[in-house]
Amino acid sequence: MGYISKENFEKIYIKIRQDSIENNSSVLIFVSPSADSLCAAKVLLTLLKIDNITHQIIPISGWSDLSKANQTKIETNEELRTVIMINCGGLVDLTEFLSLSEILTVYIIDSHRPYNLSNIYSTNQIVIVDDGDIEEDMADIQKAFEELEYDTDSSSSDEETDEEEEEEEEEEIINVEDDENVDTTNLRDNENNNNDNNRKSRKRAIDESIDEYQSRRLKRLRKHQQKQENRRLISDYYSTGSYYGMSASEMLYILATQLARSDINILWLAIIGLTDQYLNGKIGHEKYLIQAQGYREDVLKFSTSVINKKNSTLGINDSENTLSLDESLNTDDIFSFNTLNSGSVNNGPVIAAHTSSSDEILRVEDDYRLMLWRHWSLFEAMYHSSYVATKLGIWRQEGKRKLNELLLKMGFPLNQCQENYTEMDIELKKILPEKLEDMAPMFGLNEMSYPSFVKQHGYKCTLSASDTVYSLNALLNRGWDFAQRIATQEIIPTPFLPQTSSRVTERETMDRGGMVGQPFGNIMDIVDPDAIYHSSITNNSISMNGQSTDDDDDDKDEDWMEGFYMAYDALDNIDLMLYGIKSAIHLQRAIVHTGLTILEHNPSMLLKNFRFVVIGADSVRNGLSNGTSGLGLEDGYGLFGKSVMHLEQLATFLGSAWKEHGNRRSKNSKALVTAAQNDSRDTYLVVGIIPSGLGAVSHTQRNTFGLAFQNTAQRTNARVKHDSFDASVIEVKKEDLKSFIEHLQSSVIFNDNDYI
Amino acid sequence: MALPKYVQQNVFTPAEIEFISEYEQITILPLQRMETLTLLEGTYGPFRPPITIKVPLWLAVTLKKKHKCSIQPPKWLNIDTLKKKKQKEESLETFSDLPYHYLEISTILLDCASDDIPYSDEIKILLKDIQEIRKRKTKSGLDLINSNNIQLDNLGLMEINEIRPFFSKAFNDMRKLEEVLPNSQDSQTTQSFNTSRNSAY
Repeated sequence: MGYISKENFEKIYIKIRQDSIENNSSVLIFVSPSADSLCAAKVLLTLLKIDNITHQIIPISGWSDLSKANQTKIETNEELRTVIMINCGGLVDLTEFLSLSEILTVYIIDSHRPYNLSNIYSTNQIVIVDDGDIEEDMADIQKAFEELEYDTDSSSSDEETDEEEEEEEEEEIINVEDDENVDTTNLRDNENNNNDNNRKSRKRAIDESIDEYQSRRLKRLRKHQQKQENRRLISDYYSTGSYYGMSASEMLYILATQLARSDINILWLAIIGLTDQYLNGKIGHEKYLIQAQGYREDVLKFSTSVINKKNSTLGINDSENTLSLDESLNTDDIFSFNTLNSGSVNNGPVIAAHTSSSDEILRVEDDYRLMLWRHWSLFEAMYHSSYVATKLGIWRQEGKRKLNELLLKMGFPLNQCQENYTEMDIELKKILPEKLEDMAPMFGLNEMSYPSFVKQHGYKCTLSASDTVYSLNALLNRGWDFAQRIATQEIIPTPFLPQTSSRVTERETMDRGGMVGQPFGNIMDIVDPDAIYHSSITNNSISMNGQSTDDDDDDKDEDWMEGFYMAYDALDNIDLMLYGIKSAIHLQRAIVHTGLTILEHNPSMLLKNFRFVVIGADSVRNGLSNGTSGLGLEDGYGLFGKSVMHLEQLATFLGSAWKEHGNRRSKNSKALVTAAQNDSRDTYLVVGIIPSGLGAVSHTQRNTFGLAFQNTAQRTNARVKHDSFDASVIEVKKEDLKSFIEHLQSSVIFNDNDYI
Repeated sequence: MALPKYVQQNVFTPAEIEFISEYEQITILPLQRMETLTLLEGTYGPFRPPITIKVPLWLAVTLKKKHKCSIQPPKWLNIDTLKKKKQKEESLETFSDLPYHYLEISTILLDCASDDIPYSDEIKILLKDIQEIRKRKTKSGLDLINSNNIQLDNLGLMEINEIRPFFSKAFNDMRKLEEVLPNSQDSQTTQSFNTSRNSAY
């Protein structure tokens, strides 16, 4: 069978280890760019390093990268025995993509669903690491698939023989009838005797064969129906849309636990993977809660062993490894899920009093749906978080007023809120949790907090799981350059922007005070990291400018790989993580700014099945009704044409906003298609999402855009690149966009029942 | 070793010193059962938990990083002993007897095996203090430099390495001066006499 169930994960690891040791071959690991894949890769590498298994990581961003890597790495290496694919490869038939030699086994640890059935059922060389989905839910589909694949030969030949026999029988019957007719006229013929004999025997044969014929016919009918049924099952399986299963880092965490090698670091990586899925809307709240519960118990299990070793105060003559917890520890704090500690860096349950500088302690702590609120000012965090911003409607005057009102009601003075969170009054920090809980529901913000975890890095800082996720995603997606520049102190970003209402004045103030110390000409420099290349600040970046216009694909590859490795290093190096947080803040500003501008001027088109928005200079040319070219290129939306993740985040932001404040009854608000212009490649990056509600959505919807894009591309013969592992993202040539979108309307079908 | 010439004489880099120190034997508690390791340098094992075994430091660190053993700190690396040593340092003029490689071993162990060492933070502070006191003593010992001999008992290799370039050069220079010293007085007076005679004209 091409899959392995949860209880048996360790078997594949043992096999990998054996293969590698016996044959001295290394392990090839393909990793897709996401925070979850990074964490999974790190867990895997920790395990491999302990066993001294040589390995190589190859980051791949899409299917074309995969085939390139196939040519260079797999085909050239005949000794290769193990390939592991993390968060990629589950969706297509890998037997066609990779050239599998006989000794090669491919292991797929992918959270994308639905799996391509031939990966599971057709060959033993591809092993899917299964989180329970295949074993439990897909038994019917397995039967259907196997019947279709393996029974077609026999059934078709059956059909043929059946038909032949049927014809023969019919002929016989006709012959017999003829004979009978003839018989009456040729009574005295000698041949009649023979005919007589023949007729009798034939008649007996006929009676039998009629029964057989009937039964055979029924059997054929049934088989035919069964085939139809199977075909329907399988097409349903593929057409319900894409969704996500268990995160890759979690599957590897389970593997580590089975090998008895899990420790607190691996647990933290699994937590980051889960939070990444949750924050990006890939899984719903219920699934998240179940997993988080499991992790909470694990955190407590690991934490108590750490505490025992750290019981230290000078002068106490303890025996070295006291096994009893310190009496002053408040056990309630540990076991209640909802201790929302006031968020200052070293506060928390009493465990904190016994930390030392090398500690890496995990704690269970609730988190808010405010992005990076510990590293920003409270006001900024609220303004720029998609939850609060879209719920309150910040693009309108009324929304801004509501935000101020909320802060006022909680008793937080505005100037305090606009300072860095760490510099806020400690009294305010202490009352923040209860005030938020009391006041926020009045404005519709019912689910501000959700259960989460934090990790303390010695005395340096405490990062929550969500902070880590945002930082990693920023570093992966075009944030690495900015992070580098902050590190070398070329740019010193300020923590806050003065709050202004209109876009124009915002622009001015950004010119003047947005970035301290650097004379940025216009907002483009702040919003588009590419534009930083064009500024006159650094001389060595000018050479980069020349490079970037030459060979876009190669450049893009090298660039994003640098981000990949920087993000990977950030998992160990806390300084890099902090720089990543700063870039995340910077990029979030860009997203929210763009989103608010779009929402203010609303140049979206309500098409047949979905809402459609274009971002870029040619928005006017594409026939938008409002001629507002307020989204013109001078505002520098280059970021969105190039970075899939940011475009998706922008789309989610817009989608939730429109869902919240749009016309609820109209069917069009179900889905959102966003297109962003990529000037350098003359294409549009198109993303289709189905926005779920804000806050704690219990289940996410399945995204059917992948199939729709594929169908549309085929029908319109548009020049497209459907390369990303996320099927709902596609790149369309500029000229073909219009016809693409027109045809897309007829390809996309939504099932009302799926809508939650 | 490719260092600038003025540094090159008789000096190890800290990395080399650390390497040398890794030959010291240390006790570990293996966590897994392993067979004998036959290595170029020697044969170690078999590893049978929970029986402790003595291995070189470098092997202990490698195993520790792979979670295959836990390290038992050496006898001197605990808080009570170090406190006593510190008091001795403060009270006596000479150096207290710490092992030759104490600095390197303690750094390595605190780095990778801090969970095996209780009160690791306080130990770090104590070690730093002891180091400071010793440095102070070496500085005051500069006065004692004479050209014949120099005796600094109980200094660690790392500390010796720090003062080596200066002390050895100073040593050599002093000896050179002493060679010149008996003649220098005569030559100086004749010289001044000559110059004054010359200048008179």
